[in-house]
Amino acid sequence: MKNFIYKASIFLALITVSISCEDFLDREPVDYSTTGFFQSTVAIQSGLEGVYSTLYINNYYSNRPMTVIMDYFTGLAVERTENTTVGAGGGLVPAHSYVAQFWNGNYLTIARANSLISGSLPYIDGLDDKAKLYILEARVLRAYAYYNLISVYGDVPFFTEPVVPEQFEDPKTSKVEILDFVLSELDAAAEVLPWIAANRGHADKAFALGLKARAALLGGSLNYGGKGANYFKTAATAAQSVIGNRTLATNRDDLFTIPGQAKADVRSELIFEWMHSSLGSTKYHIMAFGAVSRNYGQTGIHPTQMLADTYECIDGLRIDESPLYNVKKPSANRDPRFNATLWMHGDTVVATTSGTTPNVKFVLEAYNKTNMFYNFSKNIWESKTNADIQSAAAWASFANAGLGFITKKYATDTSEPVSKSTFNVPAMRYAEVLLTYAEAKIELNELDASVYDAINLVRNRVGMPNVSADRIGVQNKMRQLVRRERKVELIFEGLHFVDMRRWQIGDIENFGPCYGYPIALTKDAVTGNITSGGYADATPDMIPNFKLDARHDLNDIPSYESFKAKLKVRDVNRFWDPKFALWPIPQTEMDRDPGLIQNEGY
Amino acid sequence: MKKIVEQVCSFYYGHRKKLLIMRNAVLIILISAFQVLATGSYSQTAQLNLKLKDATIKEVLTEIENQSEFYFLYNSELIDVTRKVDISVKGEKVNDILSRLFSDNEVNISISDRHIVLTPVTEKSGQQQNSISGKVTDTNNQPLPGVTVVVKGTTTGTVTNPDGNYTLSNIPNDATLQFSFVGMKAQEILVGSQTSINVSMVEDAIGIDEVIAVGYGTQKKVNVTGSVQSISSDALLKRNVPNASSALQGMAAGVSVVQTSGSPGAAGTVITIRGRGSLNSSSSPLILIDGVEGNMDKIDMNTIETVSILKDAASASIYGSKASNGVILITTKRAKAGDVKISYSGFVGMNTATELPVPVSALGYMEQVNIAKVNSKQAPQYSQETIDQFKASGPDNMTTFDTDWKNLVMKDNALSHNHSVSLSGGSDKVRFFANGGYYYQDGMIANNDYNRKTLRINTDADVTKWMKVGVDVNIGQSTTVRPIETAESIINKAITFVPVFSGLNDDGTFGYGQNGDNPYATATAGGTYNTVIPQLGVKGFIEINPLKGWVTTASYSSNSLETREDYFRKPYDTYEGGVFKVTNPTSGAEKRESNARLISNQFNFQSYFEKTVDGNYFKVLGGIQSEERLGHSMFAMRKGYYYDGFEELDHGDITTVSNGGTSYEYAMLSYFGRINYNYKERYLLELNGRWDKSSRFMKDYQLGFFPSASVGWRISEEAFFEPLKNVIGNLKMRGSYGTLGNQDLRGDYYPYAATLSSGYGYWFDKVQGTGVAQTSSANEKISWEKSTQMDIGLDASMFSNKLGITFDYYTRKIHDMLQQFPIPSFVGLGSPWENAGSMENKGWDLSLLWNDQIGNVKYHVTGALSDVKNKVTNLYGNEYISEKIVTEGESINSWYGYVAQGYFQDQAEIDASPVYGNKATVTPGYVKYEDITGPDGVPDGIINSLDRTIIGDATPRYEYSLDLGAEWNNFDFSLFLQGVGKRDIYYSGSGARPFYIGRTIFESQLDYWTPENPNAEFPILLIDGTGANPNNLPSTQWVKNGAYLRIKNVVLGYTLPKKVLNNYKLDNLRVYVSGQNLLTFSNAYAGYDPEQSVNGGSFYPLNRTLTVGLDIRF
Repeated sequence: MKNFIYKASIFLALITVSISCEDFLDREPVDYSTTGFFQSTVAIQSGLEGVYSTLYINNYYSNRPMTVIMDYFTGLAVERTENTTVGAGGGLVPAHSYVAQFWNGNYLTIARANSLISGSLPYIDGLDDKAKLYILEARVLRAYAYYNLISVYGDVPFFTEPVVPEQFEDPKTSKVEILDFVLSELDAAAEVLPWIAANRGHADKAFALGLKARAALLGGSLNYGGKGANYFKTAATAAQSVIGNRTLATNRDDLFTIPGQAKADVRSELIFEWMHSSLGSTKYHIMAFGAVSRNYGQTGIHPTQMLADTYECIDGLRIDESPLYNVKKPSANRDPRFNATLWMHGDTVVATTSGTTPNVKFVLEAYNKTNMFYNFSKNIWESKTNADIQSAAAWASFANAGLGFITKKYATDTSEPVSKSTFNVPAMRYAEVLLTYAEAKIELNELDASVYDAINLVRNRVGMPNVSADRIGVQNKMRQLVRRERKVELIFEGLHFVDMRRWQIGDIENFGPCYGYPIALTKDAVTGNITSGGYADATPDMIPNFKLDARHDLNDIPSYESFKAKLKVRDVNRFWDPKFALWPIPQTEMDRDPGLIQNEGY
Repeated sequence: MKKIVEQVCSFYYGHRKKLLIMRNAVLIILISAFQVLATGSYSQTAQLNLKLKDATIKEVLTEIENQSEFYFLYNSELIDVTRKVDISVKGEKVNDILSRLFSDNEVNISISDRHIVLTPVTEKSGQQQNSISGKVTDTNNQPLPGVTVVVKGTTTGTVTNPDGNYTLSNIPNDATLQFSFVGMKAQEILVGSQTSINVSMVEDAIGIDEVIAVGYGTQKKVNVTGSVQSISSDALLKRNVPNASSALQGMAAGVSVVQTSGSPGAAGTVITIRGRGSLNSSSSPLILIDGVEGNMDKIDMNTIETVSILKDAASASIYGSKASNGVILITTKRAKAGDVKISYSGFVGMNTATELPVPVSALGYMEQVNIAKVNSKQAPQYSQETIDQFKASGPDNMTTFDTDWKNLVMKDNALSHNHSVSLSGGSDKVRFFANGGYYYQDGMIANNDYNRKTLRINTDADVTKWMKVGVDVNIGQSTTVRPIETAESIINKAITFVPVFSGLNDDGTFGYGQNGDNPYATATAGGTYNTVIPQLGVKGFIEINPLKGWVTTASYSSNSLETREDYFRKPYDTYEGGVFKVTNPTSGAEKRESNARLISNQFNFQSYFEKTVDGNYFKVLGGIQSEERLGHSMFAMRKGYYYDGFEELDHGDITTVSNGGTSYEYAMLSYFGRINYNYKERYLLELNGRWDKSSRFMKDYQLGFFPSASVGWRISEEAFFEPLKNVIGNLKMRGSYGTLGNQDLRGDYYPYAATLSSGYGYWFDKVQGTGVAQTSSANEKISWEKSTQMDIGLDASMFSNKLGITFDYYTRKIHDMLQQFPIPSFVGLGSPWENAGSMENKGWDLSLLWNDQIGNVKYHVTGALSDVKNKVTNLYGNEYISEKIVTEGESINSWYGYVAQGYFQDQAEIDASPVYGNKATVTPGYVKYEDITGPDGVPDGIINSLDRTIIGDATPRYEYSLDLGAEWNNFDFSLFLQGVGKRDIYYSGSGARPFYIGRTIFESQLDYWTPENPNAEFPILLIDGTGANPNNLPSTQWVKNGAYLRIKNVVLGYTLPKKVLNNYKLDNLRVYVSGQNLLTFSNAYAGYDPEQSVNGGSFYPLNRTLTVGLDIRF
């Protein structure tokens, strides 16, 4: 019996141990619950950071804002590969990854902004001013994303609150409706936001209004809903209100370097920036590294001759009109922005590949197997192999795959390695607002002094002369000038892709082969260096024809037809299809939302 | 024909047949017990008290066993143990008690210490009859006690004594003696004129008395009604692979094991049982090591006693929620009382890659890339002058190079070795088994290897006769070292990097590589990524047996699995032509350390009761299990290291600090029960049920109920079958039906909760903030994914167990599938989990076994063949489209794309045909696609996404294996073939396309289209910088037949003869050589192993291994 009790008690003990409490299954997530989260300023700030963190839409090339990359899908630049890229036309298909990346990236901004805006709505009355500012910033970013979407895809699905499953099959909303929403949102934000954000990186009133001007200009140029003139007016008004509340940087070169960006005048011009940093886990970009000489970096993207030829001579005249233009030395006597934006044959390049001081310096001899390099340890110049011509990777260099130019813009900061740049990338500059103002006014044909002042401000800063007298009061001539200014001032800042479509000149700018530097013909048998040819052999007839017709002339689109045999050529199969005015809706999105209709032609 | 029902009724002081008492175990226990205990004094000292009324003799004997350490060996057919007696004794010796029970002329009682053999006294009568005696031994010449010897067709017979000897009197000359023993093949011998018959019993591979592991217990194999396959440790060890998962390949029909990586220590083995069981949730089987979830590749295979695979719902449903994809039960070895046994087994292997593509030389590259450029209407990349110069003078290693990246980066062969030492022994009260293992494998590139150290100690103690406790400890640590960039990526670069780039300069400096990326430098000098995974598992259990037939067990186990990772990134300098190029990476040195820990605690309580009444056998089992998992991880890193050799976190620049961490937990509470019933082992029934609650779901959705039922009919036990019994010894039909669950949501532990995660900060004022974002949507109603499975099976053994057949047909329907329907990107969130949709797998498994002897060559042939066909039945109209499509009515792994119709051969054909993209760019040699349909359902003259269709199925079908084995004298040989009958492989990226994103071209890709080679393997050679050229669309062009047949394993072994061994006091010594993956027959692309799911060109090649090994037992 004793034995039995013993056995029974052990059995009961085991049973007892095994009976678990019900709360055994209560396991709380470590993440914050979305419900009721956005009640406090701190929470809203965290949510807002989540929205801002979507702003870098980095694509295939990585660590470069997508809109900047998109400038390489125009006639002013090319990618390394030929013919089949988005820029050359062949790659622009619904399944292309860029098409999806830009779409997804912008909708991510919108979704996070909607989540913050809607999530904080029930608590809005109890929030302090700072929190309310943050919510307005989220609305600005949402507007920015919608502007990006309509400017690239046209009509798109439109949501101002978190998307619910019932909306998964929603059709597209008219771009006009979306644009009007964007403009009203920016108005609402501009009423409250400060002119300049106290904390760098935040959207402020200048950005809200500048963006409003940028967006309205799109509606104006493309005559959205037949209300083109109204949009131009809106653009002009919005831009005008910024004028005087921000200033241009004294030295334009300061805009793209770490030391420069620390200056107050630069801070004033940089209305909105993609923030980068060398602190903590670091946020860097490779704007420079991927676009330079093989002697110290890589080249994946190349400026074209068309861009180079857009820069006026220092006298304010186009190269086909200026007596100062020298075909043998095209960089001489040019708008200083030529030399600030491009490096070419004969230029001396200085760069830092590691550390904080320059360690590379050489003379770019595009044709020659050897270049003169500066030996920093010996403080002498030495002749060394030119990797752009004479290395295993030379075929991918600016000299071989490119058109004779290197993007110098973004590559002048020698205070940090070229492949790990952490200066901020401008997303909007005061210079753009000035030119937007001018363009809107010109399109409205309201050619008053404020228009010339705006353009002159931008031109004078770099030492270019005022608007010439023959342009005063002539709408088309002013139109030509403002378009030229936008190209030369703002290229590779993510604006020209939309500008080209806004001006509807893809068929003449982004069509056919693109051309580059004169081909070198004669070489030294021993050294392999060029003895003649190239720029040395360029002849006076090698000035392109800008006047093929009025549209070419107006938009500064040159023709190289008469001497093309002497030029480097790229993308012989490049083509323009009217459907390229809009990008296709990404294939994956078409697959998932049966309510969408593909853009025409795709 | 007499049936031997109770050959050994009870043979072991403790209690009951446990899983560990299997055929080998019986042997070893007995042998070791005799050796230890043959002192003969116990029976003289042990005193017994009995008071039983109206009890059968069997009950009396059982009671004696319960009270004492005696056990009885007898054959209940020969000795009448059902006779009822009354007995009341106090303090009597066993001999005296037995004398009371049996009269002298009825039973011979032979006592050898604690072992009592009861044999009938055979009648003395008649003429022409002999007395026969002999000895029964096993194949190792060890005596076998307890072997039943009967005269066929009579009740005359006996049981061998502890020395394996037997004597039978008065046997007619024409009699046939039948020798039978648990786990051994029965033998029949005609007496004739012999007076001495010695028999060597051979192990029976498909012994009908085999006991196999089933869910929460064991069961006699003949009574199993589900689809369960048991694999012995010998069969696994013979494969000479270091990981149990690899060893399972081809071992069981319906169990698909695919090697996806040859990386040292890689978890590259994908096991699926009966097809893919889930669309999104896990489709891996539940792996239980001694009842606790674990990783079978982290244990030494020498510690495995058996592996049982529960394939159908009826067998698995007692594991309910986690068993949807089948269950693999691994039982580790436990010690038996007796001498301390030591054994060692080890092998050394040499690995080489089974297949690798062969890249062209620099000259080949230059020529081919020029052709591609011209075909793409671009200027040639190299001038003829450059090529001529290269041809004439070769690479100068200053400006021109011919780097054989593959040779530079990859080793020709790599070493692996494995060592395992086991120790077991103990007394009858306390027993232990210990094993220590070490495995090392070198990788195919520099700084890449793996080692695994394991230690397992299993102890058992008998506290009282009815209570047993045990503690198992399992300690292990694996260490993987690889370059910081993954080995797969480095190997991909080694194979595809262009040879004209510099790799290793003459002066020993690193070349500039492809854009500064030099895989040789990355592998050798870029720093290493170290992963150390220590694990500790402790399990304690208590088992009580208060009444006969009632066993209650409780166990608690706690497992800790840590993953410690760290790396120190070392930048390397690159040079070309003697000029410094770049330091890679330019971000400089960085150190990262991380630590993740997962603790799993499991408590289990179960109790069963079994009884047989008049041929009706019942067993009822019930239990409770609770389980929790607690995960925690953190990392820290810094950059900015300026002094060589100082590589700790503290040495880094503090402004570059970043760190993070998170945790999760989940819990399950489960109740389970089972009823087994059989009538005379003829009609079999089993019912299972499990109720699971998971913390992954909201309260109202937590409970899942998973029932199953199965029946079996052993036709061979029916009276009418008697005439066939000589041919078909065992024939059983089975049927089962049941439901299983799945809740494995790819690491999503709170799928019901909409949450905001941290880590989305922005850089206001250049300082990173703490941003939050909701990244995926939630569904509060999310609950169990369920599958129901029907199985009909047949087991048969024929020709005296020479032939065994098992066949199963099943259908497996998965419903309430856990899915994340692709939602539009404009939602900005990942898709929520939903319980929606269904799919089914239908298939069959067939296993055949033949084993026999020709002369003194014993041989066996084992074959397995299975098929499974998947069909998605309901997705609510959704489709998932990538390179694969998941759509209703099709297999889940269907490749999706265009139908290639060869190549355009001339411009006229292009003009007349629809093309993809811009027609102007299409030239002869481009792939021609079929215009299947258009927006109106008819071909529209345009090739676009509407023209995509199913172009293949990645699921392996008709998987088969064949194991041929033979033993002759002391030699053993086995040949293991394994293959897949049907499978489609889709090749993409650098796996298929020359010059893909600026890479090189393989020799095998030179067979491309030219006007002179119109039916080439590859289309016209084009430059493919972005991979966007239309020839590269997913299409039948790139789908290849992935069927293969492979010589998976060949082993030749030699065991030293007993005579020799005895001189050295060894029990056993065997040496062997073996080869893995020796030869493969397939039609897949050259350079790629068809077994490996390589399609994108980034992979770690599988290994061909040559091994020499040694097994010693002391």
